[in-house]
Amino acid sequence: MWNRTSLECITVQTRIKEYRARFSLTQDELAKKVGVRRETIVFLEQGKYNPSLKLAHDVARTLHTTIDDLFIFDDEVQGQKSGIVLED
Amino acid sequence: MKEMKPRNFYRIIIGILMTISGIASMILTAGEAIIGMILLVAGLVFLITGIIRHRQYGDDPESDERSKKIGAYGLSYAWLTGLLFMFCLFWLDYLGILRLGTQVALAISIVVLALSARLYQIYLFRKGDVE
Repeated sequence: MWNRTSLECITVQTRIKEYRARFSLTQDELAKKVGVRRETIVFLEQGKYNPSLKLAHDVARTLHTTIDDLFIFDDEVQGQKSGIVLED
Repeated sequence: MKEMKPRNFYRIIIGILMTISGIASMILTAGEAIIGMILLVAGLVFLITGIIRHRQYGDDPESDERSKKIGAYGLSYAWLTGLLFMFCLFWLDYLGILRLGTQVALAISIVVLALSARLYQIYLFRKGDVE
């Protein structure tokens, strides 16, 4: 399940929500683990915030995955094969 | 009950000490109350800041990369707004359309800079990012 939002000219999708659910983490718990404010996680999940490489790495590591798996940009989306369900 | 950060704990303690010192100073030095007043006001600022920050954030981080980024961009935009405002003030004065005294012009500039910085930050916080 992907969440998609436009950032001016780039489209960023994240799977943070999906991974969070997998580990039964609330937004607040994830924020505490990563060391950011809860609002930052909210905007990250909505794709409205473009994180630094360090934050992306910290979130990915906390959710036991990779940055590649958590974040995907629009140029990658166009190259994706069908089968992925896009959800606005 | 939220856990208190050491920073806020020290703010509150310093605030209480300064407030008590300020009150004592005003009572003991009846003629010269200015030092006591300064201590009292500074103490109250420390105390109120400590309490508000603790109630608002508790043990959660008060700032992160997003809030710092938005804060910095808000200040940058406010600087540009201030520059434009002062540019307008200069030309209005030069052309004789609006003549303000130094004090008034400075006071309005301070308000424009401070207010616009806060407004830009509020807008960007609601938007999520600066892009």
